[in-house]
Amino acid sequence: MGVVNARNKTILNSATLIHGVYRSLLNTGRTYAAFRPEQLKPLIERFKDHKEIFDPMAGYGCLMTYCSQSVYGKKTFNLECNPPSYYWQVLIHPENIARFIQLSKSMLSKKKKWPRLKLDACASNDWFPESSLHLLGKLWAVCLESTKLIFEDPSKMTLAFLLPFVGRLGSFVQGNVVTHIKQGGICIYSGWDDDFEKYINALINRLSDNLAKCKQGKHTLVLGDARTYKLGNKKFTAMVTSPPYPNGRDYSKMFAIENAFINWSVSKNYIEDVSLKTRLIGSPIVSESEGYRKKTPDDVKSTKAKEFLKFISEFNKTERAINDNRVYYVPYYSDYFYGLEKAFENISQYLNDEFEGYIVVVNNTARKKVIPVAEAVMEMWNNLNFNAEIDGIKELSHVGGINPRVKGLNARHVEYTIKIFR
Amino acid sequence: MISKTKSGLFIREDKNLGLMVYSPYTGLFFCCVEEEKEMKHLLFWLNGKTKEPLSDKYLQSIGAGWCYPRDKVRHHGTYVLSTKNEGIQRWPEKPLLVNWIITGQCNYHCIYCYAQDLMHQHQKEPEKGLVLQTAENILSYSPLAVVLTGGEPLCSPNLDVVIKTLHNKTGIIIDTNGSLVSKNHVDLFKKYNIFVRVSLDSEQPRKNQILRPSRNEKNTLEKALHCIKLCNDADVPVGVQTVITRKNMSDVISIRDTLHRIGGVKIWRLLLLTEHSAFPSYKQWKPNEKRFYQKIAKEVKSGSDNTMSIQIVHSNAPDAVILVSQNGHFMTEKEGGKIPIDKNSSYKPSLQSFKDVIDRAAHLNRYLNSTDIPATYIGK
Repeated sequence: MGVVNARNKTILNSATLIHGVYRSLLNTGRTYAAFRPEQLKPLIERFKDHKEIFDPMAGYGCLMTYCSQSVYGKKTFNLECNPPSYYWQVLIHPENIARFIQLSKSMLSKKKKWPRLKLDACASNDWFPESSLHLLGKLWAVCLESTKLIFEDPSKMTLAFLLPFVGRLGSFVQGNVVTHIKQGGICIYSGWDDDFEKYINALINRLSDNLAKCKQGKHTLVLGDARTYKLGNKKFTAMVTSPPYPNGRDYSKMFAIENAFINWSVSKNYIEDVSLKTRLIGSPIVSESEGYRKKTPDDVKSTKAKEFLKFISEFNKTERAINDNRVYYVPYYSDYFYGLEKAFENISQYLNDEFEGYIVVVNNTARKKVIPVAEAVMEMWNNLNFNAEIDGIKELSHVGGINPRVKGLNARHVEYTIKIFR
Repeated sequence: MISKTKSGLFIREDKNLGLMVYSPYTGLFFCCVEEEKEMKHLLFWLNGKTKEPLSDKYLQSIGAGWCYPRDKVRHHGTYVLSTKNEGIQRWPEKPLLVNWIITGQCNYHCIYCYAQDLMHQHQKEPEKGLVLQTAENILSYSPLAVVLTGGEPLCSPNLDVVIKTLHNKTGIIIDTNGSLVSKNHVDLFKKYNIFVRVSLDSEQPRKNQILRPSRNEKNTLEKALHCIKLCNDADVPVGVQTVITRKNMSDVISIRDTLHRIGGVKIWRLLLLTEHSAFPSYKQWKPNEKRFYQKIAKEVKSGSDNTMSIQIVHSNAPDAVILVSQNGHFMTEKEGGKIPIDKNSSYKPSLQSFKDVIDRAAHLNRYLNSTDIPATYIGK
């Protein structure tokens, strides 16, 4: 059950069956692979003369939250292509917080209007059993009644409000790591309304906490892909970002159930089409499909990346390794570096002459060789006529590794902060 | 001798261990190690001669279901109860539990079926006379409980006879896949205080179907859920059994959370699939035991809210179990194959043969939930 801690705040635990990644976001404001405040502080301090900071891969909006709570008074411009991450940003945007608290309270007062279901539990091979979609449709309608009175864009805000909870009514199995969820499972309906109430209370706590610390709220959120999104005449002087690491994690899969709900909402015309249409940078899916071509080392421009890809292509320790490299690892790393190049190329158009930015990346290992992400990123920016230098190095281990039990070089992860400037 | 107390529990005094108790309310076994005076008080309490339990520990464990609310019970490891807090260094004289394969018929074809060899060889159902004789032989060892298993015991035409024969003489537990359980069955379970154990291997219907396929049932998981619901609605105590294989090992934590939320599940038994010399194909499904014990088993227990008893049944002691085939032979497992407990008298083995052939320490630990992790995996 959700428990109440010493400060009388609802802490969601696993028994609420709310999707783990949102439990973590609601309880602590952070989750897997999010910026830490101590990471951001020294970087933001350097932007004394810059009013707005650009984050083209904004994730959960940690930069926005930090900047809105810090004394530096910076605005942020956040670009994010994974819809669930974007909608989380919408939920915690300082300008929306007070209204989402109002919406939460309104929903709590309407508890009698929440839909009822006689079913106790059901098993399904889909992300959502039919009965869950039926229930969510009714819940959407109840929520929409309130959002219409509070927000200018009620459908969008209804989605932002419900999205962290929809996993509770889904049928999925959480794998042994937070990023891994599997389609199909048992959906327990008994007590779902209690869990919804706990979710709303936890959300009120989180938002109230943010609101109390908020010093300024001028932030822009955009749902778009850094590789392709056009920002018009916009020019930035400052940037802090952290692209995905090549660790085989797929953030769209991590939010697969929320993305499935978004797709369903679009199919029901509840919202305009905001569904994810592309594979994210670092997605471990490499198979050919409509609109997607398997990448090869020839697609990559960076020589550092090419050297690494050559090593992987020629790694011939076992028959299995040769096959795995051909089928998966070479296309995967090629796609990763290609995606980064495309994103930086696109972003670079919107950076002006006084630009200064910081990119945080991690070099992890593959086939007992360090993946030269930092070196490749610096080279990519050099090729775009920017200067790039290493600003900070931190030794880590087990960051995002698929296998947390690995030891030695395979467990070695080095976090680099790279400074980019004209 | 085994006896049924006024409280409905089955008790047996074991000269090696003290008082052994089986509770049909929770499906749990207890071992009470006490001095003579305390033991007397305990027996008075169990027989309703005093309302004062020996201690809160007794009230909140053995008392569950008849003088303490079942849903308030919290499970913390072993069921060795003692005000002295001493560990057990002795082993039971007689078996605590006997698994009786009452039928060779089954409507499922589980990929790891441990009784497949018996089912294939003995398709024919035993005559009523043989069933009654087998029941008599089993009861002569005074087991605290008998598990009716199979095959699918609900396929057995002798189910009613078996239950009526064992009733009040020992505790009855039934292992079922849940697919055939009807309201009438649940009424029968309720009437005879039967503890129901439902098999469920995955939360994902597709995966459960792979592990527990059936020609007739398209959603074996849904059937198991339905059975749990029927039992919960009728207040019949229910447990869940999950066989850990390579395929479902990583889903175990998620299954735990779901079972907590389904509610009413008293016991969740996790059985690790072992290799079986008669069925080499099982090897491909065998889980990585080291990984299971060093990571998953710890997480399963540490993250639990202790509202259900989580029992991990180790695969390293197959000779901890006593099996009775549908034609009345007493057997155990050894190195992946079944062997008679007593070659000279397989229908009614001598007590000495139990001591010689059965790993009595493992037998006790298996039912008292005494060891969390086998010694071989600790500290490695």
